[in-house]
Amino acid sequence: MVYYYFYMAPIILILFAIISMILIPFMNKKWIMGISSTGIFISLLLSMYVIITDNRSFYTSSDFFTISYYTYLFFMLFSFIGLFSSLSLRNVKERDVSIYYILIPFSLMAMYFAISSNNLISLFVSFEAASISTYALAGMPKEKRTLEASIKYFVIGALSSGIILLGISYYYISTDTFSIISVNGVNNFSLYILSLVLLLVGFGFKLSLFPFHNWAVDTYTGARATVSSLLSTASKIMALIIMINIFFNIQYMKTPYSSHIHFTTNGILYILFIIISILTMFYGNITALMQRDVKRMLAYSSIANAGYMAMIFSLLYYDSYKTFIPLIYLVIFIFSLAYVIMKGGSFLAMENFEAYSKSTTLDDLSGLSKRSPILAISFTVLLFSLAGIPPTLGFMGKFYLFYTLVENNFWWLALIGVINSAISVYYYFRVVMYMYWKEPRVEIKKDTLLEMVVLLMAILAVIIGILTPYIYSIMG
Amino acid sequence: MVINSLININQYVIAAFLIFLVPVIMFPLILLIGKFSETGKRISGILATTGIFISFILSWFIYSNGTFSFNPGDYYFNFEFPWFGNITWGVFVDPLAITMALMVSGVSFLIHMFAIGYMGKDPNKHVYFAETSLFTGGMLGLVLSANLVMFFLFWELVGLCSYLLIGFWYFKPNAASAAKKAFIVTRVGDVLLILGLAVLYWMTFSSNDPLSIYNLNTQIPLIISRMHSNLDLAIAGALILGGVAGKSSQFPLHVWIPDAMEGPTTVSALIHAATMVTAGIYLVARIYPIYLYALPWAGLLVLYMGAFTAFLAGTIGIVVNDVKRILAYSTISQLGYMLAALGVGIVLGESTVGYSLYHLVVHAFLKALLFLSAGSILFMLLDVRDIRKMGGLWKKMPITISAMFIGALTLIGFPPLAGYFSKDAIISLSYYGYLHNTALFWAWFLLLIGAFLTTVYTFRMFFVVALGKPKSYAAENAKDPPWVMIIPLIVLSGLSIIYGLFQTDFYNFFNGVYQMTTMHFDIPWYIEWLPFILVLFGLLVAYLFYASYKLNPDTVARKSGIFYRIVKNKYYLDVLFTNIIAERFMVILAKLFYAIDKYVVDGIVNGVGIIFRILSEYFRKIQTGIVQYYAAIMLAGLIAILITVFILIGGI
Repeated sequence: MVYYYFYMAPIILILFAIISMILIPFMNKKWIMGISSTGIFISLLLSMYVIITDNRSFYTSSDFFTISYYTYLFFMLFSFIGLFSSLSLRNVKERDVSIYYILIPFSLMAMYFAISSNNLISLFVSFEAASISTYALAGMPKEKRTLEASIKYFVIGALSSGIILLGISYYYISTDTFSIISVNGVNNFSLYILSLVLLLVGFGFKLSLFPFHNWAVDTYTGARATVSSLLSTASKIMALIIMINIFFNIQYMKTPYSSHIHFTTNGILYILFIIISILTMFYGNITALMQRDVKRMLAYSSIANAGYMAMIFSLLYYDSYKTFIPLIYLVIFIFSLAYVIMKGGSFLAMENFEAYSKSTTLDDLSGLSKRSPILAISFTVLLFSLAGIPPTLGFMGKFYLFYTLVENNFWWLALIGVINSAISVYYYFRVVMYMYWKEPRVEIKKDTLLEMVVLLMAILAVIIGILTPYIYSIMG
Repeated sequence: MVINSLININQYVIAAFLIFLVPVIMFPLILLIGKFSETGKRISGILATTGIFISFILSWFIYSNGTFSFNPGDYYFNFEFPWFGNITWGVFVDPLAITMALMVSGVSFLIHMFAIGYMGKDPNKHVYFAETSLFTGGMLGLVLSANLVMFFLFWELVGLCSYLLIGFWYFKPNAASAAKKAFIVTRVGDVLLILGLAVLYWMTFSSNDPLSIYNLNTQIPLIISRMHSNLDLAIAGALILGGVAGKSSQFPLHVWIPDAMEGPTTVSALIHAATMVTAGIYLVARIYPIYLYALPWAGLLVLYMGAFTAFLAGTIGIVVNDVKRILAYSTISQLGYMLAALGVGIVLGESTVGYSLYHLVVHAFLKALLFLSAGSILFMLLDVRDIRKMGGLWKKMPITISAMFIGALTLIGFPPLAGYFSKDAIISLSYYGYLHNTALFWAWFLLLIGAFLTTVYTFRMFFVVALGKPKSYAAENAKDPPWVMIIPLIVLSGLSIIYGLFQTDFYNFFNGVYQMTTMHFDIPWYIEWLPFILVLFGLLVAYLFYASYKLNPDTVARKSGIFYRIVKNKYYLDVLFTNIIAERFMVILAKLFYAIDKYVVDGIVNGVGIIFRILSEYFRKIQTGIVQYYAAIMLAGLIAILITVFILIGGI
């Protein structure tokens, strides 16, 4: 049992950090920041240790949670971006900022439980915990802009929570259980498929898939960039993993109604997902083309990335979809790793402008190479990575995703993804052009810590990018 | 897939990686410190030389502990880790590779040392040394690659560096156009090479580690017997030979190398002796089983490409007046000998690879020696390159010209020197091959005439440069260069003189790969001595024409009329490539493509771009900023999905 407790150490540690921050209210800001960052950092290291020791036999399961190697794989990503998000909170001018330091580790912990849930009840509770803490984070610091972002996020979030709850109740009616992984027969096919569609919509909101995406643009743009970096990465990947957990474990069933064409549960869902992912990609990329606000452009590009991620659900086409789960975790891990580093890094680069000039348009960035060469080159690398230029991690993430699709006969879907990637090059490179070929217009104050963080992200994007094939082969 | 886990790393593997990584890492280092400090600029040459020296020491370390002891009894070690798909990345070290690594790093080291003096006054010398360092690192990486894809990357890196270095004095229009020409001509070869690699990949991709050099050397017979005919293999071999022709400057792609003389002389020395042109020969030797098991015409193509180039370049060498171009044509000719020796192997078996490589190493020494002595002359004569403006230099700069004399004697294959053992062996080898297969007769004949031509052009150059009276002001005031340039000359002279002693040892070390012993040629004695007789005859001819002036070369030139004009114009190959193919044919093609590009492709692209912009403007309007609309859109989406589902399942 001691063995299991050791593997639980990352999450126990983060829990201790939260409790100590709550119980000791008289601590000053520096202490709170230290405890929060250190707690996240140590649990990041511990979860990396769990992954590197590569104990895939480690697996513990209850009626509510299944905690395994893969849980830590993704928790590592969450705590990675959580750490930098928490570090860059220090720029926020606010009288009582300590609550936000507590909220970040709290949301990380909730995300951890959400991706490890195997039961819709525990899933809903932890998902809501993660959501509510991010609602509060989005409204930080108290300004008109951030409050608007937070309220929009909250209203749509509440609506989608309702939809999820409705889905859960239909799920229970049709299967007599809340469990995701062990369903013993379905008694009403229509209700079952209806509940799955409702869950798709409810969690698709968090992933910002096409018709449920509107909040994301306003929230990512309105919230502080450091919060956006957490919202657009960790919270989205959480939703993606939840959806993978649900939809790759559904009950295989043929439709009872149609006599000549036999659709199955997964057969219906894969069509929905393909349509949604194509619409999401095109919507995100095309709308980003004309944005002059870089932060808003990043928000749209994160919608487009949600489209790429949703493409993986096309593998539901195969009746043996459950056997794909390890492959999907691996491919999505590499894609998410790339996504976390480059998108999180890009938003943190925006924080540099937010903190001082309050504005992140292309004009604010023009001539950045002359004022802050390090920030300019790091941001350029991150943008190259987002566009998917070869030696970087962004290319590798897309490469393995598209490669998996092509190997499983979805070459046309991969082709659509590549076309979208090509469209996206335009708006990413426009930023690079502004940074290098235009004259500076606005003065910015340098923030060395943030610059170093962005530089670190850029270096990681290149180094891990070069090493990715090796990572893929040892993990695959 | 041959994947060694990290545990298998031992000191040899690390050394093998460092051999090419050290010079490559030197590249940014030298650039940076040279850019930011004046001292850095001054020590850049020493840094680069040290980097290459470390590579040499590491190569020597692997060679001297040369049991290659992953598995006792194996003559190689192979370390690969996975890269893309089923392509790997790693080092493959066997006698062939380590011989090349030693030669490349050793000769490069001497050339770099020479360059410290030669480039001493150049304001951009840190750029020069950074680039030559990368150049050498690229070549060492190419030599040690475990996989043809990795090999190709380094091959291209070497090509890129040669472009940068040939155009190093980019402000000279000749240099810039020569660099461009070198790049474009080798590109033609590279297209063929990449096609050849594609054919090879297609043949081997079902095996678990395609294009790995280890597999290509061991499993070609197996692959053929399994699925493919040896015709495919011959096609692959011929296409790869196209790449070799580009890189190793064989007919008809040899035209870039004489122009490449516009770069610094040390660059020419690097290209000709150590780092670039030998890559093609090495490639053929590296994947030799392909030619061995292919249809015989692939091997004959190798043989006749080599033999014909050896002859052709020899004839042009006689009529050129630029000292560096004479040496360039001589390189082309000698590379022809190496390729021909490889080609003979289809008759005599793969142990001829050893003969080719021995000539390659000897040629590296002597060609580095000749180029460096030519470099000293140019250094002291303020870059006068026309041999007709030199003359009488033996008295003015005795050490340099003595070194050049040794190099020239080695080049023509005068008996006690190394060239005799390497080149005459190849000519004898081709005759021995002719005894087995009559198709080789003309190859032997061309190589034999090539030996005569070599003597004539080499000593024409030497006599005109060294003897007689100084023919220009610069030549009258020449003297020996500083010691840092003299030492490499002396070392290389020594190697050229004594390396012949190691002929048998070299073959034995080398043939260990193939578990074969050195051949004994069973050929008549007069055939064996025929090359030497021709060398003596050539010396006599050169003496009569260019030293004693008993005969006047101009009279001969006038009498031979059309032949002289053809040779003087380099067989009109440049005219063919530039004036006819490039200017007549390609320009029309280019205009056609430009029209298609402008009106069709651009039209489509711009049209799509406009459509996307309009769409983008339209989509933005969905983003109203009003949260009620968002909720409405979300619910509309939900309803749309539900309708889709109901259509799909066909009822409730």
